[in-house]
Amino acid sequence: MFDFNTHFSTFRNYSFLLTELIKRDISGKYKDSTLGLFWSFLNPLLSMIVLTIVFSTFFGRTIENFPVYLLSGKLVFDLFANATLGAMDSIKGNSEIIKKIYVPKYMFAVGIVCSEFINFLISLVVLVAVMLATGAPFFPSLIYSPIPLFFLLILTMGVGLILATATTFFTDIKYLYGVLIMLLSFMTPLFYPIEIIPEEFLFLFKINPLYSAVSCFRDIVLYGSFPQTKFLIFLIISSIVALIIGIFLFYKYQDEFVINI
Amino acid sequence: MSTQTRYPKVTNQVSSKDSGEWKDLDNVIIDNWESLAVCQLSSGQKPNSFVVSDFDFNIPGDCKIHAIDVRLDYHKDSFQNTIELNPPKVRLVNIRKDCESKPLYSPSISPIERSVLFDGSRISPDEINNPDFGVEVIFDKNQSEFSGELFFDFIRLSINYEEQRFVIGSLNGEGFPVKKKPLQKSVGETFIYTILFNNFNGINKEKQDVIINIPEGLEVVNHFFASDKKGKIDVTDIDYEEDRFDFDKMVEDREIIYDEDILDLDTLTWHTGVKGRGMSRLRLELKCTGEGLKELSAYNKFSGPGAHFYVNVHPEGYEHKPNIYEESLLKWKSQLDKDKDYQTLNKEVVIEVSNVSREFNKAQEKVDNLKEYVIKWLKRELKPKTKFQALSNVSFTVNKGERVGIIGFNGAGKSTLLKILSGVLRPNTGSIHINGKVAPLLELGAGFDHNYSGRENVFLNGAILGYSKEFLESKYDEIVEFSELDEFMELPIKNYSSGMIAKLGFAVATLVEPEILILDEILSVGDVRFQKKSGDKLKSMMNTGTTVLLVSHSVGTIRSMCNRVIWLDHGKIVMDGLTRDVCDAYVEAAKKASEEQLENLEI
Repeated sequence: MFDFNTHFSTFRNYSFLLTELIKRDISGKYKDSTLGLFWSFLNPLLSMIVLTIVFSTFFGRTIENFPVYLLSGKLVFDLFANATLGAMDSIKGNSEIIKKIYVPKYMFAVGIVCSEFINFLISLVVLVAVMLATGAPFFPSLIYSPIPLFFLLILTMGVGLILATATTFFTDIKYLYGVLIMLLSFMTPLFYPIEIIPEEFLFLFKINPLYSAVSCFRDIVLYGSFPQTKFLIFLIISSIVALIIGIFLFYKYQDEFVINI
Repeated sequence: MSTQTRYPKVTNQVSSKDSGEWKDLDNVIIDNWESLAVCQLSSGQKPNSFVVSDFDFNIPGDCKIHAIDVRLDYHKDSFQNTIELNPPKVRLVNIRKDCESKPLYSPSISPIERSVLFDGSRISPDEINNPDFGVEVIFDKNQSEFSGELFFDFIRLSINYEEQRFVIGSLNGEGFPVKKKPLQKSVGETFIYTILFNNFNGINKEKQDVIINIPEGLEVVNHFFASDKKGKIDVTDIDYEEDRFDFDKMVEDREIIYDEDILDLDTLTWHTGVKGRGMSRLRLELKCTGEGLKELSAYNKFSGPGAHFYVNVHPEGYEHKPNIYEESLLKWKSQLDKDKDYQTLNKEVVIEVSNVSREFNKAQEKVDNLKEYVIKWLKRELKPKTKFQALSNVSFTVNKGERVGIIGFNGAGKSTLLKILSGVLRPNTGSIHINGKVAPLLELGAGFDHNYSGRENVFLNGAILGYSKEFLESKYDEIVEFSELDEFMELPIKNYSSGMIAKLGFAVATLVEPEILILDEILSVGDVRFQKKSGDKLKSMMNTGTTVLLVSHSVGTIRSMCNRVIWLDHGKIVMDGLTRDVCDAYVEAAKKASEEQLENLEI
């Protein structure tokens, strides 16, 4: 049923489409704004400044270098949030094309996830700048950073595919997910330390793969160590599971997209 | 059909003692009423039989003789009591197999030209050309009790024969490319050169060779054969004044007259398959590789050269006007497509649809959000889905170069089929096999981003159609030139007019030279001039073997564009066949169809 070779060759044939879509997504984001690409830096920077002002008084003492702590978590979370939201809209947003021309539909979801990832890489400049400004050390452990980022990408892709499939059948998923992502942002220790969470609720955090992703990334950037095994393994497992479910659902229902969008 | 008519030069009577002597027998050589041969006959006496010979025929050796027509005039004197004779026997002598026959009429008193017809099919031209070949006239005895005179005015022979006729022809469509008006092509393009080899009468049953002269700079890409396979010799077109002749004799030896065509590509010799009456056709697809005026011709030793065919090859990329001749070829192509043999000979299936079915859920009310779904599920109100069968068990194949129209009333499944063929929808069951690059011209510029410039959209749209960057870069200039939007390419297309967007979409969709073109209605793009240009482009694509699938609401469009039509009704193929047949049946059915079914249709 799933013929890898033909899928691979289709992917190769449409690889130019993927680059064009990524280009369109990235340039589309900044095309008409005067600030352009600078917005990529400004957005996380401003929110970091505000959040730092607000929360450093609460957690400033328990968390060393609060701005870097906040930014490293927030960039990772924003990548996930933006990319999954984008992927969710990707099928409906390109319905005009999908209804008219044969295109591998996952290209649109994959395209937006990739462009958000590139966006994330660009905004890492802000993180570097903040680290320089706050005098944070650059650990050699940074060379491990591709490992959690890769699985974060896998996770995002998987969740994106699930959401893209679900929204074509149920339009209100979009609003539900909006609420969910907000809840998720509070359930991930972005601006507070995990230590403030009572023991009995800690399991809620442990099953959140984003908490694992953020922790892995912080271990590398902030604490100069290899990610903790429990976080890394949970991230890897959850990301692969999400991707498998995503591909399965997408593959199963993609033929019905045309009649539902 | 030719005829040679001769009078004899030599007369010779065989005397015997009880038969009447002919006087002035040499007068039978002279055909006028005054110079007669006379024989005095008494009762019971018969005239000498006589032989006339040395006709000086020169019938070409490779001819087929249809008939030997002996004309003679004999009559008796006009006395009341005179001789009474039966019609004479007329015999051909000095041929391998003697032939004998009788005219219908006995000698009468008035001079009337009589005819005796012989089947010539077993007689060779050599035998007739022989000076000894002659005609013997044998009268029986005078049956009357009276005596009298028998006159013989003349004897004349007509040989009706047919020379072998081979004719090399070309397709004399409108605008046949003569030297002054050659076909316009540019390097890299292909065209079709057709040679017809016609054996008009099947006299020569040997297979003939045709030498094809193709100048340098042209390269044979492909060749197809097609032939008139009548299979039988049929000689019904001989028209004689008297129909006494038994024509059936001539066709009793029926034979298959067609063999396989072979083209020797090294020597460019075509061993034609025709072995009797009939026509072989060779269709060469030639690719232009060098520039200049080229002359193509074909030669057979009997027929000589056929019409010369000229093509003017321009440098690569040169844009020439569409050739009228090629358009007239289109008509010919549709004629050929009727030929079943041609179909099987040139079968290169590009689309294969087998047992395709597609059904849709026909929900009473569409549940498109999770909240409602959950509520209905809890209330157990989720209705079982009713299915609507849009296509059921549709199978057909399309060969390369066919132009297939799809017709049907509203809701027949046309657009579902088109969507399945273009890959947008997948069938529930059955399979689709498509061999070649498909360009769906369903909606021009689908996927254009309005914030993008024209240039960026060319690449985006090209990418959506599945082309690579390198390919699009190599075609970019052509696309810009065709769309005539050179000065606007860097502007975002939100500033374009809808006509400009359509032009750009058309240019991208067609300039990539698809093998299969899927059209939902014929596109009319932009202003009148561009409409013509896009129409020409579509036509030229069809000429070069692009397979076309067209759904149209207008039967007229289908009739003018397609050579085959598939008629769908309620998801099933009602009819699949030649445009005329299917369209006629469809129009007939439309008269009975309901108004709802016919809405927006143009019959």
